[in-house]
Amino acid sequence: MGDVFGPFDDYFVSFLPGLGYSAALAAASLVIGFPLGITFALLIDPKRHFLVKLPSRVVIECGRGASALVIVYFTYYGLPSLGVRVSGAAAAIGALAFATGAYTSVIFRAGIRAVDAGQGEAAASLGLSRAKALRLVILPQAIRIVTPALIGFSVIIFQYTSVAFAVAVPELLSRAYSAGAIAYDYGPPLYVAGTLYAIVGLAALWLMHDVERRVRRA
Amino acid sequence: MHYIEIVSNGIQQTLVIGFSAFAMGLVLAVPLVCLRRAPNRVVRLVSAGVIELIRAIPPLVWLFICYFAISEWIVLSSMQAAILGLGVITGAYLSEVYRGALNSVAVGQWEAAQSLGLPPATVYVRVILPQAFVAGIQPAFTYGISLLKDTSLAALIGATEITYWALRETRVTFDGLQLFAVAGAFYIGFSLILGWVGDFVDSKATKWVA
Repeated sequence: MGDVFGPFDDYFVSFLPGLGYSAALAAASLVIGFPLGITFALLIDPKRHFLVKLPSRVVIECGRGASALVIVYFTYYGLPSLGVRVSGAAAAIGALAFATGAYTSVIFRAGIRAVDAGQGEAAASLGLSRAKALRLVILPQAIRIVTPALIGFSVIIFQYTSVAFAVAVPELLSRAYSAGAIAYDYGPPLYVAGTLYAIVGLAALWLMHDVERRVRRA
Repeated sequence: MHYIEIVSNGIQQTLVIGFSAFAMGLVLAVPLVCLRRAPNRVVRLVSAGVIELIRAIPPLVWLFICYFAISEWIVLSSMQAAILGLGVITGAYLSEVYRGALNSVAVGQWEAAQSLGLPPATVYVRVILPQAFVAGIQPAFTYGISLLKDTSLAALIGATEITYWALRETRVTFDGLQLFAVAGAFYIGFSLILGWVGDFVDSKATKWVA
């Protein structure tokens, strides 16, 4: 290819580690955030005591209502006042994991509600405890139902790893910004970074539609 | 209390960016949804691709492009760049909201209106659009709430909105815990208000059309 696209093809190659870093940030946030989302979903179960439900609701609304950037800053600049020093990457992962937990709790809740009530009754009549029924019967079906929604949400989290730029994490957008500052020409690196985000995002959405079709057929 | 005063310096700019970008999106979504519903298959596919592409690029990357890259041709202030970037994204999202709202109007409504011999323009203005409008209110407000939170990204290109003031004061006092709790509370408060307004407008409009 050589010079066909001028600096563009150089940027494509040199940004790949940054893209990997962004993907790793997203993966870590989701791995922590999904179990957190399931936990939140169980804590706001209508059957629970309001002393459990109410604080859980408040925490969830904080995660959904504040912006991702504010939560990242809150973690990065706030935790040191409590005596906990965190790196930029840790703050970004912690904040995005919290946001993931808050947002996906609603998704998981909907999934649990979508599982037929007869499934829980059948599990109970077989002598399964409530916890076992949940773990072995309800949750696997609920997760299957919400998988397309979770993939869609994962794309959003992948996009929002770009806010880690704010706490000096060497992810994709930070590298594009630095490259632009060095060349004193921000256009090419930003277009390349945008294209890389779009390729990953669109591929994931395509996967989502494929999974959606399969879930619907099953 | 002191922190609330400082962070509230940014409220005006947050609201200006949010409402301007939303207004721009409301307008921009009209031609986009028309192209998306064009009789020509190629036009439909290309416009669908453009809408998907706009949404697949992170909002912060759009803001950087509008602020740093476009400056080679036209120099925008950080507030103008934020409005432009968020406005483009909002246009893409709202065109999908419009499309969903139009599709939600039952086919029978078109057929009934046409069989009465109404001209196509009248069918649109008197029959279809009022119903689509009602169907689109809730999703549009839902998007508006997430747009409001995205206005915080404008702080990273130097717009002096809520998050900017919290960050600036944090660098002076090192009290990020309280300052960003205040900033977060503002966003949560605005989200709640927008949610209530959305419910109110929705219930009023539903009565008006029904």
